Amino acid sequence: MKAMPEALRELSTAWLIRVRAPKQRATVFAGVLLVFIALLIARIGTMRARLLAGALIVSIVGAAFALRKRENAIQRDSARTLARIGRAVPEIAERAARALSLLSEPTKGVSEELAALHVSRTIAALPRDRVEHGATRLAFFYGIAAFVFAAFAFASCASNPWGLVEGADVLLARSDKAPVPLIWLVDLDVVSRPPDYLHQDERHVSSGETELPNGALLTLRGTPVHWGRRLFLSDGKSEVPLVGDGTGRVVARWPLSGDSTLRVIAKFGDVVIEEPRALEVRAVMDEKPTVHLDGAPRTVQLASPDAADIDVRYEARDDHALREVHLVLHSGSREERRVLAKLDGETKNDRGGHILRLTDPFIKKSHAPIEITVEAKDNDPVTGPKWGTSDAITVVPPDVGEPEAQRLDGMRELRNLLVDSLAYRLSHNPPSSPKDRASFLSDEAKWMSDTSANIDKIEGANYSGARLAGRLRAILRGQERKCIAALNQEKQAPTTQNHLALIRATERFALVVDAMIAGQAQRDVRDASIKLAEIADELSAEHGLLNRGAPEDSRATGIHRIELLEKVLKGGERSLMRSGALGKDIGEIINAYLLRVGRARAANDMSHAELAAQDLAARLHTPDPSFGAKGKGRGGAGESGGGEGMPAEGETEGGDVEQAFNEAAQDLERLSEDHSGNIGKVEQALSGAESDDDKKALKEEGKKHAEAVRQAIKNLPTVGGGSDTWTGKGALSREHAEQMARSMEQGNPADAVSAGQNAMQALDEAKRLASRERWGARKSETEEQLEDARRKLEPEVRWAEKQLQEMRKKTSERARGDLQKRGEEEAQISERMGALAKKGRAGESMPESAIEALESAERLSKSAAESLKQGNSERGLDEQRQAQQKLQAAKQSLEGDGDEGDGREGNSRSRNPSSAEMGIPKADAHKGPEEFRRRVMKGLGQSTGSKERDAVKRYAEGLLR
Amino acid sequence: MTPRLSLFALFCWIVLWPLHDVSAQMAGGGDSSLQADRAEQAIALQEYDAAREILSRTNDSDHPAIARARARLAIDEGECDLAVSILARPDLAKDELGAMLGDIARGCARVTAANVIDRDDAKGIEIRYQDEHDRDLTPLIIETVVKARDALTRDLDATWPRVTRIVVVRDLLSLSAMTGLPYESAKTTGTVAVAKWGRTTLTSPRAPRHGYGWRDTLAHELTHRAVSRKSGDRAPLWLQEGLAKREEIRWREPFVFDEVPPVDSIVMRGIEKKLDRPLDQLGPSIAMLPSADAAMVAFAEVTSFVRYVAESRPPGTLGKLLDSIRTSTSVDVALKETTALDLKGWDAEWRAALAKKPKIPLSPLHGLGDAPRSSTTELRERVRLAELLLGRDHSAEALLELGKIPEKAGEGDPALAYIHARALEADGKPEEAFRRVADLKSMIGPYGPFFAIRGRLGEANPEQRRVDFTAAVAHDPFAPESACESLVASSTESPLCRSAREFGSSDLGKD
Repeated sequence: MKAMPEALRELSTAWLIRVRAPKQRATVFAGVLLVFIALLIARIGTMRARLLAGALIVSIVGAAFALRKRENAIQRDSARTLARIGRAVPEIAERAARALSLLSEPTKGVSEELAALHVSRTIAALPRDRVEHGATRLAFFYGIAAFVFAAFAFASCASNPWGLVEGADVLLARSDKAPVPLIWLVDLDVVSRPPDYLHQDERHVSSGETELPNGALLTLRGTPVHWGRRLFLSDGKSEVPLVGDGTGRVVARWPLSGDSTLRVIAKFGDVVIEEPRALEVRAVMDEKPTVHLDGAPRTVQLASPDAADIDVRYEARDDHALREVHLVLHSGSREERRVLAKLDGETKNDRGGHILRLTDPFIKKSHAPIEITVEAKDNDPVTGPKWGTSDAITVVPPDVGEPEAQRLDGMRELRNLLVDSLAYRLSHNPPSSPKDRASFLSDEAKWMSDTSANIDKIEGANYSGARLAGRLRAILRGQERKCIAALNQEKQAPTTQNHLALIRATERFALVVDAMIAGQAQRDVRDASIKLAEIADELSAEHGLLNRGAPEDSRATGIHRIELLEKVLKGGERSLMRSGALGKDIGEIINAYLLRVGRARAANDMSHAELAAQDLAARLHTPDPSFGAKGKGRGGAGESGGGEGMPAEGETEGGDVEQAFNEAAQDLERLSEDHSGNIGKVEQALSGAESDDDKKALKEEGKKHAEAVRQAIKNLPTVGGGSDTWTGKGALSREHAEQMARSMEQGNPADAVSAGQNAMQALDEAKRLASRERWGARKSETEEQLEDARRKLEPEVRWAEKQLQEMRKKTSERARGDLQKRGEEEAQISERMGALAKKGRAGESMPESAIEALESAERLSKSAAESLKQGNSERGLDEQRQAQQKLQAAKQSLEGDGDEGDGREGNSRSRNPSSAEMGIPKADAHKGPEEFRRRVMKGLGQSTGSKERDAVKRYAEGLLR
Repeated sequence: MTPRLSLFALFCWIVLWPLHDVSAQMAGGGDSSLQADRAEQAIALQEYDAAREILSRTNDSDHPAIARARARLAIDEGECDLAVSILARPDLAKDELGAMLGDIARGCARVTAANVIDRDDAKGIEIRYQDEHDRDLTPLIIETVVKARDALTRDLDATWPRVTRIVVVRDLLSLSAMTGLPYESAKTTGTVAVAKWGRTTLTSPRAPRHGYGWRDTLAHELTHRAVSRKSGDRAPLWLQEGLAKREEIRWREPFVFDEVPPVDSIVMRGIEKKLDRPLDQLGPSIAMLPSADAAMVAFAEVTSFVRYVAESRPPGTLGKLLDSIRTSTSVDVALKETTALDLKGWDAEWRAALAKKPKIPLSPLHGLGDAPRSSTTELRERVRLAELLLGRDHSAEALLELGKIPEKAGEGDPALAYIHARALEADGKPEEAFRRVADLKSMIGPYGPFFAIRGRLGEANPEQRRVDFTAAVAHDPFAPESACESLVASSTESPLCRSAREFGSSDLGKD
């Protein structure tokens, strides 16, 4: 580039001196104004606005640089300088420009010096004053522009100076958070209100760090520094708006849920500007209750002889309050919760206890280990009630069938003893020499006493809950009696014949016990098998869940459950293997099928594992012998092959003696029912023989005596002062006497006598109590009153008794024919009683107590029959009732002491009434219930006035329906 | 190609297109029902490859009959899971036949799930075990199957499918589930094996307490398989069972009990007791007769009858009869064609011959009633006391108890002879013990433990000893005495012996 001619440089300098400053001012103010505009746009806060503002500012800066560069370029370029300053004198400027072109574009043949001379002359021709004038005019315009820009910039700044700051903050925000915090609120006030269930007062919270209960409600109030901002209270995750409270302040309520750092923020579009101050709140969580269970953790083996009911003692605590305490029983997939305490939500501690019996249905039905825990629930409504759990007491139930197997072992021990004693008796005959004979008899007695001791042992034994059934105990005792009788015979006369009788008794005893073992084993195995079938069902279901694709976490739980179930099944297998032929059979099957299940599972073939478990369950649900041929064909093959049909092959039913016992029990049941029916018939006969005329006459006469009774008791108290006071007894006596009077009016001497006797008895009691309250030796007025009442009442009671006796006599006379018939029936029944007792003795199947009761019943029944035949209905009926009581006693003896169960669960299937042959009663055979119904209806109907009688009757009918 | 030629080609295609369908149908065997029938026939003949081929050519695989045939093929080939999935279709489950097949398939899938399978590919035998402890029987089963197949090929000109399938189930419940035989019927008649659905389902000899003649039973069932295949599953029940009874003992050397009890005597007793039935009125299966006695008489009838027919005609007649039955319109026609007499004629001839035979008395122990209860009760009680005394090592006293058994009671009962011999052996009298079991012919039938003690005590005659132990294992393989040939455990025991010791029945009087 050619150097600028000197003249032009001077003119340019003169131009710049006038224009530069105003121009720079105008540029700066324009820039400031634009920046302000950009900041206000940025304050909108949206991404688009912030981008626009940013672009604007960048454009301003760019424009400034561009202008500066352009200015420099102009100042270096002669032509552009000339163009700028020559605007005031365009004609000369144009000439000068052409001259300059000679320098910039040299023409051939034109001297460079001449060209330069020409340029300098042309430029010199430019009028300086006009150039300066033009510059001055331009500077003026720049000045005005600068003023306008400055005015706008100032105005915008003055109107919303914080807006520009906020805009700048928002513009510089990163991740929607402004870099510079600003104060939004002054005069802050924070109040905390704890959750209601804590029952605590509100308190002011100072800024900084503080601890508050979780769920507390924080109320923040303050005065905004700048109005018109959208203010919020925020913990960085959620926000609550601050709203005007009508007093020139703003307020926000913040429910505390967990540790929080709370700040006031202002939101501009997407951008927040935080306050520099924060409230650090640590939420104090409501802890879950702690539960201490005495002795936990520990394991209780139910099979252990020391196993006893479990004493569950606990103490539950909570930092605030408890609501409930539960006892939780968990076994396999089963869970049961029992409420131990329901609390008011104020109690922080609770102590208590519970005895969990080993016979508890949950324990009895559980075959997998049972976890016993105590769980306490607090009263936290904020996060929901929380449960605290104690350590567990783990109850390990015996293997399925284990108690029963132990019981069988006990019975086998007895059988072994009997077989050994039989062997001794078979191999030893009564010696002839007296010395040897004494020793022999002593040995014999020893065998017997050992046997008796063994029976005592198994009779009293509790094999983890399984006991010997009452009827089996009765059978054993029956056999023992027989043996003892035979031994006594031998002791008295040690002959070969008596020894053979003892051998026969021992043989029989051994066979009976053997049959009992076989029968018991079968029942036990069937029961255990059904229980195990349920476990196998669960096993199948668990594999099914895995087969259908359980999630990974529940898969692990499923596998654990499967292992637990298999453990139970294997335990059952061990027990069954000790329980006779059927047990061994089913035990082997469990072993084999579990191998199948395990093999399929190991190959991750859950479908076949499920099927194999189903197969096991199906088998266990059908606890028959594997080969239960009822036939006895042998030698054949194929479809009917092989059926050896050994009699003992899974079909043993417990032997003849047990069968005889069951028959005896059924006979006794029928006998008892028939006898009860006969009592009903006698009562019916007597009732039917009552004469209406007699009754009417009695009613008439009874009215007078009823009045006398009422007169006698008129001074007795109507209300008692307690059951142990004379007034109480006096009032009771009055009630009975009134009842007596009513019965007399109704012509019912039996009830009148009964009520009268009660009244007399109560009067005697009242007298005794009244005498205690006496101070001196002299009788008190009260005593005299009571004596007077007794004196007057007594003849009335005697009269009623006489009437009753006469009425019964007449009734018996009238019912003589019926009573004769009933007496004959009673005689037949008594014969049946005798026959049954005899059969019981001969069949060795009944316990002695049952036989004795039967024999007593027989005697009473015989006597009753005679009385009835003689027309003595009162005595006959009384004896009949006594005989019935004896029959009940015999039944109870047969059933044992209420523990008829073959197993731990009181299973009495062995005496299945449905399997027994039951006689169908004829229409008139059993009148007991009908008679009872009739008497209740009559009694209730008569005991009140005629107004209520119908209602009472309807009520009674409803009760008896 | 000119347009005219193109039009001609199009015309030809339109005309011939329906014919393509016809030819396809001809190749595939007509419509779906027809194809299903053909497949079922092939399955009945145990031609499983042919059945599969027919079913693969079907155009309508969703057709119920085709689906049923597929399921049937799957059941016969032991693919019960597949059969279950096919038969799960609601339309098939509603159908009576489909429901029945569904029950079989489900039972089979359940019983055979995760079974152990032993295969002998060279001999074409596959054995599944529901209880894998039975696997120790595999060598004996294979030996029996091979010998029985050979015997049947020899006697009946039987042919065999590629694989002979055997399923050893653990109990009657599983036998019932696998075969569809009602469980109650299985229990009533003492059924131990069924040949149906392409396999022989055999109850494990460990199921009955003292085993059963399981090897003969296996041969019996294989006979059913051979007869079904040869006759196209058209042989009547009397022929099926008669042949099976005849052939069940022909795979091995004759044995003294093969004719015990004499079938003719049973038939005669059955006729006396009116338990006999006409040959053509035996119902769907002998296993479904109302009682074990009825089944016993029916078996005796068909055995005696078929033996009479076989012995009255030249060898090979029965094989020809089966071939004829497959192609004839009725059994009578086939009988007449091959033997010159129909069933009525043969029945009359057989009954006449039977009447001429001397009447051999039947022991009360064989059943068919008449055993006096008092003597059996006494027998049972004395035997039990002897067992208990033996179990407590009182052998002399056990002998005393056995000595109290009334004379004649229990005569010929191998179980009583066994206990007596055990008592004598325990009492230090082995020679006397052996004498008690020496007379085989006086026994009324086979009994595993009886053979076992004979084998143990008969050391003097090694050959007879071998026969005795073979018989013991053939009847009660899981009795330790049979399997181990000794009461005392030793270190060199066979797998069967080890299994018997682990799971076998407990010794006398120790249960």
